[in-house]
Parts: sequence; structure tokens; C-alpha cells
Amino acid sequence: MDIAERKNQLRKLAALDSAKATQYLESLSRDLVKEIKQSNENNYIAERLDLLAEFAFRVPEQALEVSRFVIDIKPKETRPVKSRYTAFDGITHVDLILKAIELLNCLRYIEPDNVLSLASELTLSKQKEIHDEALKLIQEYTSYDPRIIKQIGYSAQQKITDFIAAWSIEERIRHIDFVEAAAEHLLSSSVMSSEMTAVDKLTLTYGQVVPTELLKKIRQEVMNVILELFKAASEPKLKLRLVKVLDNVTQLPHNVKADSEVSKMITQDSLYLVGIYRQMVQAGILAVTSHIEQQLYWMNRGETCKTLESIKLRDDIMADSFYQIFDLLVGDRMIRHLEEGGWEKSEREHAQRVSTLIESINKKNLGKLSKQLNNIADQQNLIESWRYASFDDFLIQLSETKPLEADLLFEDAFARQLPLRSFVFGFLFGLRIKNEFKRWDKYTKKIVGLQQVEYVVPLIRSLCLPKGIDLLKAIRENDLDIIGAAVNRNGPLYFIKGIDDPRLHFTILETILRCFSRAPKRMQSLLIIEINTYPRNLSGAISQLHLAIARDWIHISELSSDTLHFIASKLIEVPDLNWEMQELLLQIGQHEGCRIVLDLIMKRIRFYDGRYKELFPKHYEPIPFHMNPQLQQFIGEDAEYKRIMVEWLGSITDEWSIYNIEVSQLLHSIKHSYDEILMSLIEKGNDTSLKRATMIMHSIEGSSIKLSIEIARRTNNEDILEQVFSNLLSTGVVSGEYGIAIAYENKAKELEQYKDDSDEGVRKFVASSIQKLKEMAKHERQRAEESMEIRRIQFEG
Amino acid sequence: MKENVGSIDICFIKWPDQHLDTSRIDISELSKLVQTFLIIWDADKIENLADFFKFAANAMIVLVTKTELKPIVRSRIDHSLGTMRVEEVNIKEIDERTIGPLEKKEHDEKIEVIAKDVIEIILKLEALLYFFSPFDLNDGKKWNKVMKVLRMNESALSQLKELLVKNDLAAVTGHIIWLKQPLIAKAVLNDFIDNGTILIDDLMAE
Repeated sequence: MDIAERKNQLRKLAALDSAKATQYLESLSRDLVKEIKQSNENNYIAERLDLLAEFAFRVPEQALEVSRFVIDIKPKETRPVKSRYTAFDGITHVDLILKAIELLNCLRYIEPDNVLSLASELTLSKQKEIHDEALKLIQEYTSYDPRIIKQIGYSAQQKITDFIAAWSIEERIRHIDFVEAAAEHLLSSSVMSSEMTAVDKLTLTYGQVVPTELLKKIRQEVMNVILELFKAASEPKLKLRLVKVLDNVTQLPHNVKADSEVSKMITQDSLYLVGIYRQMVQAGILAVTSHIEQQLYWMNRGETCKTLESIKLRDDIMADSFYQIFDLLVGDRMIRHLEEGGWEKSEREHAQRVSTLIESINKKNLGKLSKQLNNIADQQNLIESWRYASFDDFLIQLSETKPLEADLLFEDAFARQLPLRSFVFGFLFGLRIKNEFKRWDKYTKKIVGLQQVEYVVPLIRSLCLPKGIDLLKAIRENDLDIIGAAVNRNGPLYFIKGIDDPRLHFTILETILRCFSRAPKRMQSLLIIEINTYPRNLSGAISQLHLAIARDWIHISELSSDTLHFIASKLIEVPDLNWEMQELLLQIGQHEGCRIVLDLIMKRIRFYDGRYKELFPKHYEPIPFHMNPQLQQFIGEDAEYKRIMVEWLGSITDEWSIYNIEVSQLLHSIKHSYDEILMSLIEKGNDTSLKRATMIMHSIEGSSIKLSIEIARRTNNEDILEQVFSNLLSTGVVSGEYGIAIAYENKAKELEQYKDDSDEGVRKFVASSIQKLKEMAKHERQRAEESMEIRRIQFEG
Repeated sequence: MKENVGSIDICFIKWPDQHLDTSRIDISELSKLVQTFLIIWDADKIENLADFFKFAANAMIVLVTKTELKPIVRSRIDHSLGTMRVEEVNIKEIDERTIGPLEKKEHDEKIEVIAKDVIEIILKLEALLYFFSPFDLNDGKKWNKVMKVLRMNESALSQLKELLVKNDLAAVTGHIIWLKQPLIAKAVLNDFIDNGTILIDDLMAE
């Protein structure tokens, strides 16, 4: 029996309230468990697990037993599943465990202890899919689902809180993902569920929790657990994760206005939370303090969470002089903009404060500042990288205005291997803006001596100077040599040879393009070398070239014909010509003539034609699916286009081929002169030409009725007429259940205008086509009605 | 849309095998200090409400039923001077359109009018159409199974099918035959399986 049908029937039996059905299912489950245990075949086990999943809730013991078994068994060899045409990857051990998790999910309210215990172990899995799926189970069990709450209240939430409470601190840290997922949901005040309430209707229900004593107790217990874990955790990263879990305490319910009871509960919990935050701030981890400070800002902005204590704690944090520097250089600017009355004002004040800070720096206080800046730099793995943009700007400004002090800071950072070393870019960039060549050269030597690629990237990037700088003065021959050494991976930068680092490649490319006008000939050859060195990222390189043209760093006319042909040749093997590539191609075409564009397209077609089997199932589109309209117009309006297309159509064969499909696709994409080009083939009037025309006209968007009639006028060959009719069946994208039927009916209507044509052959073709289209529309309507009925039956069960 | 979802702290009592035998109910989880709701499922099977009042000292009793309460129990609640009341709740999982005795009676009477002699066979056909739904009339395997279970030939079965459709008990869309009252067919299937009239092995046979 078909497995889907068998599952359908088991589902029906499971839904009955019959003792005999229960007996049958119990007996069947015992057989399935036995078969699973005896089997050596993952595919066979998976099929049995699928059957069991249909009625697992009726046989929880067996479902649990088999889940445990599947999780514990030694992985068996994966055997491919052979079909008539190809072989598919077989079921893996991971797939089996995922199915076991599905079974556990069916039992989560029936056997919560066992399910939580197994799921908690699975969250430790190194296999991401298993880990994620187990975590999803935990989240589903913990979340406030109105359908479940109506039946069992908060007992699931109580259960999982107790489950976590029973673990030792070490166990909780070991199961941190589990604890984090559960705690986040337990602290939520939102209630949400989604269900299909009718065959074609999905209802999303939003609401808010009802703050019973039990719920308040659960929330408090969870906050305590998190604080306890925070104190026990040694890793700052883990501490930060734990602080973030508490964000949910102050979250108001989503999509509904909090009622007074919920608001009261959140207010009380916020007060308790501030006490916890105060203890967490004591840990002295900047990223943690910063997160708390941000949270306090949002709490104090509204009325629900704002308390005297929350205001006081934020004031205390902000009063710390070091935190003020941290906030100035790495703080969340969005909050400052909101707090300081708008973007412009806030930016102005920020710039002023940075300038004041820089002005205050001198040799005497440099030691203290170095410590502070290194502390800030040390948080870079904890704080989002975008927040360090201000820090970089500060370092640029510092080395521009106080190069000596900046030099001392980085001298120390390099000598003692301090975290600030990672921010050397800002320092080097500032030096280059001010043409501080001597200092820059000193650090180039240091970096060359270190032989670490992570410092080569900022070194090269520091030569990518801002707009408005005179490159002739700012970029020396020595600098061009350094760029050359980076491109050729030789000379002082020999040690980066063979290093596959996209950041390095991007930086080198960007710098070549930026310095192009400084030495066009030299940079042009370096550009070609760099593109060839890193072929894997061709689309990134094209994108950078496109951007450089847009930034006016480079003009297409500055590139030699050889370079343009080189770039075009690189586009042959790219899987798809994206928007930027098409724009670049358009510019190349405008400069070199349309022939270079059409030649590239033909080379792409030939490339695909020769290797489509080898390329499958990798994506390759010789003709872009989304053709740039300007490129489309450029090709279509070119004087040569029509002649070249007629020439290409001459090579269309009678048999199916990639060439036929893609050349037709190009004709459809360009649109220009479509009828004219095809009529040149149709007018030949012989069956070979007509047959080729029908093949070209085939398109999923539907073919031209006018041209179809012209073919019918010239032949009575049944095969050709059949193909013409078949082309008419292409409807393009339709909508609605009856979309295809309506499209057929409309085609029949369109054909009506030719039913009294002077040509007998045309009249015959039209009459027969209209009749067939009407029959097919009728059949299609019936099929649509059947499928709607099946959907309804399956929905109602 | 705002929905305030009601919630109560519920005590779930481990129910004995014979769930109407209240003598073996474990009440250790009921506390005199904490107001507890005691939910009793399948309350339609209760005959003597007084048996449950022994818990009322420390629990609010909620009787949950998918169908109607027994008349004697309903009468007792209606005459409780407001200390007990009946409320309609819409919990989708237990409210998935169950059928009341009246609905079933009307359905049976309808069949009786159209084919008094073959009531059982029509009911059986309904039960089978439900079990095998979605039922494609071109699915030879399913038809053969139905013929085997009903022990009748194809032409007799076709006549019965026509009868169902003509009398608005089923309808045909394209090749799909579907029941107008599938929940009644489900209940009928349940009864037929329980009384051995239809064997599950026959339904599930390959």
C-alpha cells in the first residue's frame, strides 16, 4: 500500500474513540518497534518511524522506547535510494534522530519528563540540525500557546522550570542552550498561536499572559536562575548571553495592549530586575554593563518599567568617567540620537566631545588612556562590530591631529601585543591622510616583520584614500610597489602567498581601483592579475569594478580594449549575469560595440551546451532571467542584432538542444524585432523552417497567436500543427484555482477571430484548436474542483 | 486583535482505569490552602453527580464534555440555584464539531425513509467512505476493499453509491465522492469497529 495512504488510514484510526482501534494501534506499534530494532536499513527505519508518528500520542510508551533506541543506536551506513532515473541520498542517522525528535514532540504534554530529559541531551549534539530541532521542541513546549493554556494552564511552564531547577549549576551551564531557550520563552508576556481554522484560512492568535501567582513565581525563579548562572559563568561571552535573556522581562506583549494586571506584573518584575542588573554590573564587563545601560534606557523611556531604582542605576553607570569614554567611542549612537534630540544635534555634540577628548590627550595621561582604549578594544568579540565604527573614526582623527601620541599608543600596543593592535587601520589611515610617510613606513616594517595577514589587510586598506586627496602627492612609488607586492604575493609580502582570504582580496582590489588614476597602466595589469589570482570571487570583483566606476575612481574608457575583452571573457563561466554584471557589460558594449556583448552571450550558450550534464544540478543561466532593460534595449536597437539573430536561427536544429532553447530564450528576452525575425524564417515556407519556427516560439509565457496562424497558413503537416497547438497551451503565470482553465478559455476566444479566415487550412486548425482548448479547460476545471475537495476532506479529517 | 486568554492553575488528578469509579481517585495533590480547579473530562458519562461533590470542599469542579450531559445530571445542575452553571466553551481540540444524539437520530431516520431494508449496509458504506477518504471513484483498489468488506458486487455498490448521492448524504466532485456528514460516518465507523461488524484487519489489508 502507498505509504501516504497508509499514514492517512492510521491517522483515521488514531482519531477514533474505539477500544479495538486502540488495541490494533498498540499491537501495530509493538510490531513497528520490533521491526525498527531488527532492521539494518535507515530507509526502512525511517518509513516505520513515519507510520508511528501518525499515532504516537496513542502509544506513548512505544513511541518513547523507539525514540530512545534510535537516538542511542550506532549509526548505520547510508544507502542511496535508486529511482528510475537517478539515485537520491539515502536516509542518514541524523535524519532518523530528527524523526525521533518529531515523535518526542508529539508526546511533549503526555510524557513531559521523559521528553525533556531526552531533548536536553539532544541539545548537546554537535550536529546542528539535531541541536536546533531539539531546541525547537523545548521552545514549543515552553511557549505560551493559548490552546494549551486553556487546557492545562501554566503546568508546562512550571514543569520545565522545575526541570531546570533540578540541575546543578554545572549541569545548567552544560545545557546553556536549553536553559537560554526555555528562559526566554518563560519570561515572555506574549501569548501566540497559529492554526488552520478553515481549509484556506490560517488564524494567528495574539494575546497576553494572565499573571497568576504561579506565573509570577515562575518568572521570579527564572530570573534567579539566570543570576545564579551569571555569577557562576567564567566566560564574558556567556555572561553577556545570560544578561540578554533577561531582556524579555521588560518586554510588553506583542500586538496587544498590555492590560493593567500584566503591566503591574512587568513593573514589579522590572524593579526586581534592576536589583539583579546592579549585581551584574559589579562584574565589570564593559559589554555587559553597556547592554544593561541600553536596556535601562528603554525601560526608563516608557512608564511600565521605569522606577526610581532603574533611573538611579543608569545614572550611576553613566557617571563613571571611563564608561563615558566607552560610550563616546563604542556606545549605541541610536540611543544617543533619541536622547539628545535628533541626529544632527547628537552628531555635532558627539564630534565635539571626541575633539575635546583628543585635545586633552598628552604624554602624561597617555598611560591611562592606553589602558582604557585597550579595555575597549578588548570587547570587540562581545560588541557588535558596527559599533566600533566610531572607535575607528576616533583613531583616524587622533593620528591625524596627534600623530606622536597615536604613535606612542600603537608602539606600546605592538610591543606588548595589546588588543588595540587590531585597530591599527584607523591609525595608519590617519597617518596617510596627513602624509605622515615616515611613521607609516615604520609600521609597514613592523607588519612585514610580523608576517600576519590580519595586519596586511589594514596596511593595504590605508592606501585606499578618501575622495578629494591628490593621489599624485599622497601615493608614492613605494606605495605602488607595496600594492604590487600584495597583488603578486611576493617581495616583502611573500608570506601572504597561497592565503585564501576574501578580505585580503577585496582590500587589494579596492586599493588597485582607488589608485587607478595614479598609475593607470600599472594598475590595469595588477587588476588583471588580482582577478586571475582569486577566480572564486569573480562576481565580487565585478561588483567592485562596477562600484569604482560609479564612484568616479575609474572610467570605462581608461581600460584598454584587451582589458575589456579580458573582463568579458571572465563572464563566460559565471553562473548567472547579475544586475551589476549586466550594467558593466552594457558599458563595455557601449564602448566597444554590441558585437562583444552578443559574442559573450553566444560563448555562454556554447559553454552551457557543451557542459550542461556536467554542470547539472548546479545553476547556470546563459541568458539572464532578469534582463537589464537598458541592456535589452541596447542589444535590440543595435543595427547588427537582427542580422546576427537571423544567422543564429539558421543553426537551429530539428532536435532538442540547449542551443535551440537558449537562442529562442534570447529572442524572447530581447523582444525587439521578434515577429520580424521569426517571419523571416516562416516566410521560407518549407516544413523544416516552419518546424524550427515552432520550436523557437515555444515559451512558458505563451506564443504569438498571429505567428501560429501564419505557420498554419503554410503547412498541413500534422506534426508541425500539433507543435503549434502545443505552444498555444503555454499560459505563463496564472492565478487562482481556475487560472489555467480561464487561460485556455481566453486562448480559445482569441482564436475566434480567425475562424472565418480565407484559408481553409487555417479555418480547420482554428476550429480544432478551439474545440480542444475548450475540452481542456473543462477538464482543468474538474481537476481544480477535485483538488479543492481533497484539500477540504484532508483538512476536516 | 486583542485576545485575553484566561488561565487557571489546574490540578490534574491521576484518573483510575475505570474513570467513573471515584473511589480510587488519588486526591493527594488537592490542597486545602490553595484553591484548585478539578477538571473532569468525559463528564457526559457521569450518572451520579453527588459522587464528585466529595472534592468540592477544596476544589472547584469543572466538568468537561464534548457532547450532552446525561439528562439526570443536567437537571441537577439546572436546579442548583446558580451554584452550578453550564457554559459553552470553544476549545478547538475538543470542540471539533462533535455530533449530538439528535443529529445522529435525524441522520438514521433519513436513511430509514430512503432504504429501510438496507440501513446497516448504507451506514457501513458511509463508514468506509469516511475511512478511505479522500475517495477517488477511479481508485480500483479502494473499491475492491469496500466490496470485500460489504460483501457485494460492483453493480450493487454503484447503486448504493447513487442512493447516497441522490439523497444528499454524499456528493461527487469530478471523480471524488465525499460525505455530507463525515462526523456521523466517523461515529458510525467507531461503533462498527467496536462491535466487530467491521474488522480493522480488513480495512488495513494490503
